[in-house]
Amino acid sequence: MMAIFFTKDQKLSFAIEKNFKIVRILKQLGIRPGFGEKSINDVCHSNNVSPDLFTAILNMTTYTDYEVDSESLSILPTTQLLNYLKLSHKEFINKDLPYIEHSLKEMLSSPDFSYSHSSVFIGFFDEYKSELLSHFDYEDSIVFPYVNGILEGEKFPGYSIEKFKENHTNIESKLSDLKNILLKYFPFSKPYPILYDIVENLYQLEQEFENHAYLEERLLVPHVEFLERRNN
Amino acid sequence: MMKRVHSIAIIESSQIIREGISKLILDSTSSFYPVNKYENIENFISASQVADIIIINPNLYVSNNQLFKDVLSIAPGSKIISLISCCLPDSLNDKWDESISIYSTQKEIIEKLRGLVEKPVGTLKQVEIVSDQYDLSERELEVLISVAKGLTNKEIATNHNISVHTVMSHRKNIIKKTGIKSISGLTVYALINGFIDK
Repeated sequence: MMAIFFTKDQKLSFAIEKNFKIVRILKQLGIRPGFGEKSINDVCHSNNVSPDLFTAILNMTTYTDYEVDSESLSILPTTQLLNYLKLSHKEFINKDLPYIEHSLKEMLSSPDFSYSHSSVFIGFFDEYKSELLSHFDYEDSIVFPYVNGILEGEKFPGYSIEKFKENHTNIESKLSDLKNILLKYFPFSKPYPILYDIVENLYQLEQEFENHAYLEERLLVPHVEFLERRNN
Repeated sequence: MMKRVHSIAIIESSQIIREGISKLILDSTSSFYPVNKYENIENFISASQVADIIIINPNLYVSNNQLFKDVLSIAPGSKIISLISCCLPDSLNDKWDESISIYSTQKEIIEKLRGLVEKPVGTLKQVEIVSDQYDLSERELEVLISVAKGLTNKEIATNHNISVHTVMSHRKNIIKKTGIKSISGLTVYALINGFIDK
């Protein structure tokens, strides 16, 4: 029988069959492979991962109509959630972006392209990259330490997660411009298989960014709002 | 992230079954709304309410196939789920996108509804920027060039003797036609197409 949403007593392998994007979540939560036919609950316990956090992330990544109830929100393991988000940032910064940057620059260095076109486009990519890096850096160095602080009962006059919520910028929009220009407007004189690989990677990254922002806005923010109310 | 809600029409003569299915759906998810209920096909047709998914009991048209055709013709884009309550001739089977029975569980029903409206994650998404037109008009091109050069809306309005409101409407059209939203993206577009020099 099928479940309406993923539940803790289902097999982890079943969830992965339904949505292969979960594989990336396993990596970021540090779950050991070789889990056989164990349930989500058992796999989480033997890997010291909160089954509640894991199922919340699974469901939010898979179903757009999944809502975390307020009780689950209040008992989420804050540190694990922060670690997950931090590791996602690392993955974006150290793996996804360099890969795209490398293939893009290698492609554009070919004599098939005019130097002026390539340099304009690379300039646009570099600008986007530095915006991304500062977006992640703000979260890593301001927002996450703030959350750690209130977890320990510290007070931060003048700052609250509300500020983060208001200023959380959309990092996908320029990414979408990148792939649109590359796919539709960049002059190619012949078929270019690598271009399509890059565009596909950009689409995947865009989706990862969307999922990531969704978790920050729909899981982290309401959870931290709960912690803030508890502190006051 | 956009959340799309899908409407449902239930066409079934038994009130208990109509109300029951409607409750099972509404209780379990907010993805399906509204759920309208009709006692027979005639009522559905005269209500002329669009529905993304129509759940219909084939007994209502098994003796008069024209009625089913009428449903399809007023709701051409709708997905059809048959609601099976007894044995049916095989010839009917291929007309539905999906089927449920009066013994289906809540989970089965929701899974089938989802299966009809949701593609696997990431393969189909809402596209916000669409325009049927392709080329930029002369005015839009002028505005694009000014935007790419870094001029503000007010400066562009003054230079071209148009209102700021008109500038903004040209900019919206440029975004719709090119699919490019950021100013630096539009600058790259203008440079690559030779509309401006570096």
